[in-house]
Amino acid sequence: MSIVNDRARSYVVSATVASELHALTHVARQVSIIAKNARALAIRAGESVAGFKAITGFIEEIAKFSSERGSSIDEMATKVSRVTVDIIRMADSLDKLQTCYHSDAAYAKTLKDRMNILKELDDDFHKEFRRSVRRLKMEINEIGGQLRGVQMMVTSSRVEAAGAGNFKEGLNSVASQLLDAYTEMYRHISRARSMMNEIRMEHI
Amino acid sequence: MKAEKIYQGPRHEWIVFGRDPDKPEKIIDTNQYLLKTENKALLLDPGGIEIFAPMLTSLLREVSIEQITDIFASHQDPDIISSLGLWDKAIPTSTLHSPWLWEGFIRHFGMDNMTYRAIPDEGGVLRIEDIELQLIPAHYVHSSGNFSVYDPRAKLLWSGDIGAALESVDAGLFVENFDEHIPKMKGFHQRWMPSNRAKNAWINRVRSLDIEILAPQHGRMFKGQDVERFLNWFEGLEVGIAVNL
Repeated sequence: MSIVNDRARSYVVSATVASELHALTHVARQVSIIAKNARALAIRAGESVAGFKAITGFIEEIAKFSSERGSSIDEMATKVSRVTVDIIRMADSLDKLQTCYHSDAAYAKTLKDRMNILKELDDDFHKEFRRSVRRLKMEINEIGGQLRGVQMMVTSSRVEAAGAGNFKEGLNSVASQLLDAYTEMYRHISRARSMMNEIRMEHI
Repeated sequence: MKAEKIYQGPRHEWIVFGRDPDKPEKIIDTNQYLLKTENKALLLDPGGIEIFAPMLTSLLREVSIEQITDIFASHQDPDIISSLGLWDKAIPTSTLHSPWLWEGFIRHFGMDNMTYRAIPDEGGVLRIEDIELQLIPAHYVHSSGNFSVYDPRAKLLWSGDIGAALESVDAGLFVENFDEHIPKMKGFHQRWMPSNRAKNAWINRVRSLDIEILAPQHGRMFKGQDVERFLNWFEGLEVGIAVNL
């Protein structure tokens, strides 16, 4: 792949990562609704599902965490995309100025100072890019780790449901909805993580 | 890209750039104009991204990068000013003079550093050192916010898309046979110019000017009596023909 195509691929990738993380915040909102339903169910079921009450608190925390972190890392991914575009535009400008600088035009060398300033700016963009990508990868890994706790909650919910009498069906339904939400969130995170691995500094 | 001096006065000169044989095949050929004074230079309708590098190289044969202080964009079209993002990096302290109507649109081409001087609808004056240029409203001919530029000292009317013709890159700089030139500009004016009323208002506005050269953004320039021939022809031309399709 040519350098130009590699560069273009980098900003498309980071924009796609942003959209995956934005989708994650939508699922987090669904989890929040599941948490509210679970809490209402736990109140109605009373002491027979005492263990479930603790689980609802945890579901709420997960919903809040996913929503907040999803939004902030969505912003981070958008920033990576923006910096990538800045780098590409700068590279384009420098390429063209370079061509003029090496021409036989009488005043070609008057471009030198301007090109030096632009190269410094370009270095700053690259530093910013490296910083942002590193941070984004860490955040994505962290949120992925937190989501693994949801799987345990699903199992615990099913255990609680087994002894919940009339509320068994309701609790199992919460567990299923939670599992679906987890599966979807995990899919978005996995996609984002695998796309992030496509972004390499040498590409830009 | 060819460069040719079309006016030399005691305090300033005009140079036209164009007929670039190396430009990509499917983009329209454009004329770029430079007004150069002792310490400053104004580039009119600098062109699209595709011609930025040859354009800048050609400019640097005439002036230093620091001397390019002003850019004029008559309207918002890509062949006029889509190179803005690159000029913004190359000459960040310069000023872009362009219709107020297009500021929010033109900035989409990328403008982080340059200053946008918004031209009011009624036009005004653009001064480059002691050279005073008149900004003449040319709204709807063809863009809804659009200006021509008149230099009374050089008797040069820079007309943008008015007077434009679609020709090959090896065409001459000036019209040599007006009648033969008509087919090369007729379709362009009939289709791109939307309003007979606006067209005639512009003609009335410029008829009072003393014009030796009429310089469009595409094709050949008009000189001497061909200027009046063009104005007469344009006056009689029905434009906005696509409404009948």
